[in-house]
Amino acid sequence: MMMAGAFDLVEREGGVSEWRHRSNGLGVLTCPTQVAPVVGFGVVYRVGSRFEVAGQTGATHFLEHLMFKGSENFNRELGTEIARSLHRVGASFNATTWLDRTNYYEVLPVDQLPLAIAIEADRMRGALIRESDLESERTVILNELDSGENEPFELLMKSSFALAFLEHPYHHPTIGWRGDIEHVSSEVLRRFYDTYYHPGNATVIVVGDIEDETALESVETGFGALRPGPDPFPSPMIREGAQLGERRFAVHRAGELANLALTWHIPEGLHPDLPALSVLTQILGDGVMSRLHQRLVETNRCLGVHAFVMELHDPGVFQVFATIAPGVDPAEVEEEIRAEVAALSSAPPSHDEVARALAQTRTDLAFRHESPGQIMTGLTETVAMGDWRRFVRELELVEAVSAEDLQRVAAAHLGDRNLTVGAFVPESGSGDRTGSSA
Amino acid sequence: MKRTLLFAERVGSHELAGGGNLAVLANPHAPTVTIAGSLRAGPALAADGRFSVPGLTAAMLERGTAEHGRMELARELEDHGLQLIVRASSATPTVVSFTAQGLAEELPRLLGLTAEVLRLPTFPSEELDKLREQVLGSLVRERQETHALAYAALTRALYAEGHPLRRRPVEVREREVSLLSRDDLAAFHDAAYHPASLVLAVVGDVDPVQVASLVGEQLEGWEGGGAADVVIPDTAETQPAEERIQIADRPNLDVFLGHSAELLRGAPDYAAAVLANSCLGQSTLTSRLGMAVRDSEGLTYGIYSRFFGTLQLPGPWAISLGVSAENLDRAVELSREVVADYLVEGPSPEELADERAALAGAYRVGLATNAGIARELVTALTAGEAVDRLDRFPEEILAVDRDQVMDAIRTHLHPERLVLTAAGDFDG
Repeated sequence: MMMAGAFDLVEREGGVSEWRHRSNGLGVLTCPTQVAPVVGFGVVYRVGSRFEVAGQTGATHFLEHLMFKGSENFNRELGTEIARSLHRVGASFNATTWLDRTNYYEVLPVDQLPLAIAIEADRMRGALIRESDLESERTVILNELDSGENEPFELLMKSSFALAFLEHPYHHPTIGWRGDIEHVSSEVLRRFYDTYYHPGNATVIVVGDIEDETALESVETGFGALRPGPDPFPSPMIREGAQLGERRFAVHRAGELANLALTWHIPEGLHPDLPALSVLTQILGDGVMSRLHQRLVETNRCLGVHAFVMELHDPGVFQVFATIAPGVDPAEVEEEIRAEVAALSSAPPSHDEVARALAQTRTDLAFRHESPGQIMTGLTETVAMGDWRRFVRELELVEAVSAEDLQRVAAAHLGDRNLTVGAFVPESGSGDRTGSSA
Repeated sequence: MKRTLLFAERVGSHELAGGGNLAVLANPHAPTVTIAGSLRAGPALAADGRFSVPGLTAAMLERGTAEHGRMELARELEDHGLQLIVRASSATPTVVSFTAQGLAEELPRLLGLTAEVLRLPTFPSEELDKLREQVLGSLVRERQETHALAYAALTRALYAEGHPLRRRPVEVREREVSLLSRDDLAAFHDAAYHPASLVLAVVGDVDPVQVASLVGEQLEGWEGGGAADVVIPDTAETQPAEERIQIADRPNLDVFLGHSAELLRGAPDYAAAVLANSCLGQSTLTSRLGMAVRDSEGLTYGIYSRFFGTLQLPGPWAISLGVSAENLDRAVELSREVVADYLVEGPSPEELADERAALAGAYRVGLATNAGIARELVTALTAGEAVDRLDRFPEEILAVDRDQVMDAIRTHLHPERLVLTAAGDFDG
């Protein structure tokens, strides 16, 4: 086995190397690329809103906010606040919480890598999580929640997940239910932190103008002395039962335009059907030539139609989202979308459609590998899915998809019994342009 | 140690036969190419106050040319994984901007299609009818968009009728869009789309000699220039004012607190003014406004201040924030206090040092992708700056002293003139 200092090499593929720290289990992905004198550094914790229980939803996200409020060596009292320390070196930085993971990241000049490592190592076990910071951050998060509720898209997404997932914790939104945000305590957040923020539950990603050995030395300096944490880390093992019939909901709110969201259950992100399902989203909704664009946008019945797959650690969803043009009956649009999706099951797509999707994938992937920040993002999401190699294998997986595969996966996953349909119904606006003009 | 070459040394600059500028940078680290460009044909060039004409003209370019119908063009792009976008934006009202991206091996096709849509659009009537419906639908949506409504109200308080930065009410734009004909758009294209104002940057895994030759071929025979000057109506100095726009079921209010400003890229005090603003409101997580309104009092998820447009035509300077109705008054009061204190104190030496390093570093980080470099080259050349702006700007930022920042604060920030606009559900 190849070693570098305190790290064993686990795997090397597609320009990315995976290492594991021998004593604390920290995973490290290194990806040297000389595109610019910049480095992307990130920590992915394998904890997201999927790990939350009823009454404590939003805890993962709330904790992510408090992680900026200070750690032992980086805090306002010392004049070393985390955000300011990173800002002053020109770093682009932030953190995000999602269903399966929480990530903290910095993109910064390569000579500042040790600073990013020092901060992330310090807050991995030394976050302050003070009661005094809780209340002001609570209203910040409530305002973030309000911002999302301004958008019909967000409202539909939230209800789609809540109705499509009845048992699995993807049911609740990552930001949490309002009542839970209003009442969460620092003890709950501290317990969450102490359970999941350890080297053994994290993968560090270093991408950019670096060499493996020097990057690993820096990571060792920051993280090497930390203890591994619980083994194994508690993880929910809940499987959503098969959906046995169509589900429907409506959200009535003030507005002008109707929206529709159609949601089907699909397998987990690493399942072999996912590349084909991803190609189906392109055939349905990517570009002017796509089927739904041709049928609904070119005919002015929708302002936009989009299809996407949520590739997640546990079984995810395939979704179609439509913004309906003024004066058009949403029932007509729903019928058209369902007819297009059903057609995917009854005949394979044309050679042209498959070739077009592949050309688009080739270009998309080239751009997604263009900069350290983009590569880091791709690796982050595949780490959350359970295998970073998915990121470097994406093109070969899509190249292997045949027209018959596409028909097969559509028939297997995109049936009516597996469907949840949601409508945003605009209430005060008539949705009819002539009716709402001044 | 190997010295990193400057952009001024790496970027090839060419004056085009028709009078425009071409900048080319070979970057072999990624197998992609980005073509970015601008033409002086933006909304501000509308001859008779019909500011929708330039936007629709730009949006129609991809909907049919002398060589390809709408679907043929779309197929040609999508079959080869290419993307081509031409847009007129009210944030940069003097220009239309375009971006074309794809794998580097597709450069000849990409350049050919870009030149084709700029030079040879046919404005088919049936495509205009489709686009018109789409635009009218988007305007219906805008009636509910709190951010767009609050910003539009701000511009109406700051700029006189006929000013290109003044966002007219949705119903006025609806009427204008309903009445436009394909001849209006074709006439604007004839009048404004000339190679003299063309700025083009090509960045990616390309051979610079081949790029220059391909661009020369594609633009051959395209002549003309000297588009009409932009006429800007006089705008009286704004008085403090306030407008609240009620939109039901929008629990987050979008708020602007701003005044007209006079900052242009390329101005001698540009770097100092950008720094002056940055210490106050560049980042919610680190700037004064964010530290007071979010970090200390938890009133907002996001607050920042900036100059809204500095390319050829100066836009407003404004603070922007999201807030719930019950926290609006306190957040605005606190923001005003922060600005007032800042005007008196200016930044501390530490704040200024941090912000200098932050801006210089962020500018360099922004140049880490082909697209980032191409966009910045186009903006610099459009503003009349040279390619060495990409090398020089971080150095200029680092060299700004505190006196220059204080001068810039006094020149560009005027709290006594702040206009407040807010849109959202005040009754919810």
